[in-house]
Amino acid sequence: MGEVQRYFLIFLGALLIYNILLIRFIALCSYFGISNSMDTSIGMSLAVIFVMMVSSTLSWGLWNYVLAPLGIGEFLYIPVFIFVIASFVQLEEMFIRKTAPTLYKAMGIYLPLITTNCAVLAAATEVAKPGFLKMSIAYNYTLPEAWVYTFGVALGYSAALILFAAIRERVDFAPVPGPLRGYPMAFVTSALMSLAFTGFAGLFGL
Amino acid sequence: MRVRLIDLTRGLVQENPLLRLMIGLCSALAVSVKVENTIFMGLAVIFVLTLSNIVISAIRPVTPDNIRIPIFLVVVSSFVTIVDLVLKAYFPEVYARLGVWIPLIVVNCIILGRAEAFAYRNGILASTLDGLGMGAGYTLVLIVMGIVRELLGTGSITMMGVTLISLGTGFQAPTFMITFPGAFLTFGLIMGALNKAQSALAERAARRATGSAGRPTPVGGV
Amino acid sequence: MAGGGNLVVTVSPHIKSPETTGSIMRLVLLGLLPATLWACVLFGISGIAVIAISVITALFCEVTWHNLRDGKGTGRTWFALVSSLVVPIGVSAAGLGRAAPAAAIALMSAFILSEAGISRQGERRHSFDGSAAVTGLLLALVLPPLVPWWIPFVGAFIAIWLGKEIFGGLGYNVFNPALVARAILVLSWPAHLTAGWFRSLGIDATSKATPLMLAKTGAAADLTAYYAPLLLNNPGGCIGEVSAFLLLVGGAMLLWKRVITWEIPVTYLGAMAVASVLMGVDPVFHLLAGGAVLGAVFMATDYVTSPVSSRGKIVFGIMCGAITMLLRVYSKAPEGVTSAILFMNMVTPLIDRSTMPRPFGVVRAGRGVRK
Repeated sequence: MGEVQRYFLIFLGALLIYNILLIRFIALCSYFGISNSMDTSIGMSLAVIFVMMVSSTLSWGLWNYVLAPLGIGEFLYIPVFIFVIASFVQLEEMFIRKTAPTLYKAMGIYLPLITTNCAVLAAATEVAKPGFLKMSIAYNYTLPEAWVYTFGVALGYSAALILFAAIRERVDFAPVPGPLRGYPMAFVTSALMSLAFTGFAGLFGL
Repeated sequence: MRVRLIDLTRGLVQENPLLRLMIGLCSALAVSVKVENTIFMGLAVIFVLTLSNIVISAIRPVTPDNIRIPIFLVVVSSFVTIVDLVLKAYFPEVYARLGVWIPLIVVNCIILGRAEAFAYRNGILASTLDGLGMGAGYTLVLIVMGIVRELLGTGSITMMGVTLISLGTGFQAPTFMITFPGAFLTFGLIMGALNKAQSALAERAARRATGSAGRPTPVGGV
Repeated sequence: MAGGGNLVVTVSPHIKSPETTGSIMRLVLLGLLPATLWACVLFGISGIAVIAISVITALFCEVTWHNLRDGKGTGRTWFALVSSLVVPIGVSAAGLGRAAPAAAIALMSAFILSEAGISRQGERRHSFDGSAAVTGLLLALVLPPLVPWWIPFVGAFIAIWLGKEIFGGLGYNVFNPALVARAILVLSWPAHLTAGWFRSLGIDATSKATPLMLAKTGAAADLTAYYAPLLLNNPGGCIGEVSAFLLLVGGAMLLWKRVITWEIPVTYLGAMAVASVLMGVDPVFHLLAGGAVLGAVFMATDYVTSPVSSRGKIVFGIMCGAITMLLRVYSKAPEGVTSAILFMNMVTPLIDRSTMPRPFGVVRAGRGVRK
């Protein structure tokens, strides 16, 4: 298998076949919480792509150069990763507010929310300590692979979120039966979206 | 400090974390494929939630307000690490099946949400009760979902290798129920059923009170 | 759409036209008729049974849902629902397995007829717009002819209740109901849905597999031998895959009557042809085999679940065709039409949103003038 092919498969798997929201069920709180507005969904998507890329890089570096060589990773990885992500998000918020006001306006208010976005921690943990979010291809996450993987996850999150936001603009105003109105219907809709994603299972042997 | 029963029971139905507050959904949908998983996951969440509520409530006076979130996270992640290591050592098969969901308890919104909304503002005893109640509410929904999905999706419920209930060999189980879309569907329908039951109860209460049938809006709707 | 009262409030546009939901659905049924009749001839009683159960159950589901929703005849509706489930199960438990579908059909038909009539008070009880019949027929056409009878029965419940009514009824569903049902049936009972074919073409009379399966596994060396049967009389496939030619005839009628427009069928099939050339597989075979024509002409063109604008339709069709070929060639499953159309149904609201014509005089919101 060529290098390019590997990267492509990792990317496609993370984006589509093992979609973080609809197939892995990670980060659903934000998915249901903010998808009632298209603008918010787009802002959140941008912020998630950015934060995920950086925090995965950090966790990858920490694991491979600090935690694993010292042999303390097994019992320290959870506090270390979450602490790094939380502090990084805080720092970044301050930094963006000072240096790029326009960018801050676009995604600033979503940054604190991202601290508890499980997708960020999940991707950061996976690239450092592979095995939790298994895909049926061989990988051991070198740094470029970790980037490709994280980008796929982040883009998959954004795609599902934005598609759902567009669908909800319709479903929220449909004459849905009373008890199902609102969130229950959002879940039923997600069930069918997940069904549509399931159709890709087995593509390229993934 | 007064012990109020409401702190314990709040999490069961009227502020159920999953069905009403809509937090902690991810793990609920993912692990409910098997009843056995839901019990372990529920116990893990009750453990972490109660203990971190206690600690956060205890260190309240010395916690600086503007860096409280990282502090909460450190407290929570210590307890999650304990669960992570204990499960890995004593229940390796369960650990393998729960997988990423154990470390992800750290960012399970229920725990941080209760820390922020309750433990940070209330006494130790009240926070303990709140942790237990919320954890129990989470576990309850998880088990119901687990029962529905495992029973329909596989035709029987098996725990620790023992078959508890079986629908018989003639039943052709729709595997759809244990797939990903089945999880979303089951949860949505359970939520709708609760809305329906609550509005029916409220309607009956309203009719009894005023003699007229008022139609209350379902809670949890948009 | 017409209600019982004298004053009817509907949403805009208030264009007066002899075209109604009912008239369109009747034309769609007419378009499917040639292929359906030919399937009945070719598959005999088993094909007829699947079609009958599927259509009647779909109508039954629509009537029962509407009755329960509108709170009319709740008691008798529940009675009908329970008995249509319990009686067939009882009949087959009594060892009369073959009589179970007949019992179900008889019960449901009786209820539908009683609801379709005029009530004692002189009011029409239920008005059928034909959409449930179309959904039921399409579901039957994407099932193998030899499935157990309860597959179309359960499938019709999924299609009408979960695919359509739960979203608020016709016009609000996001996904094509018949395909939702098929996808869930495939996930639930894969063994039943990937078998149950009639003995395959004369060229390969030994194996019970569809031409697409044979091509996938490489068992069929000469694909050109399949052209004629796929076009005219293909016994190895779903009920609706008997004859691409008859489906195209029906499609041409719909185009002529302006029930559908050219964009989706043409771009769907065109993209499939281009993609198959790029992927190095036989384009003619892939256009004729499986559910390509049925999907492109009758499923993807569903008004509710496909984009409104012409530009949107073209994007929709191309993506459908590309995904279909991608799945057929590079995934484990031999067929990809269902998944492709469902996936694009999901993208449709976003396509609609971004291809919405801008009202005259409205300035596109820039970065500076955000709300």
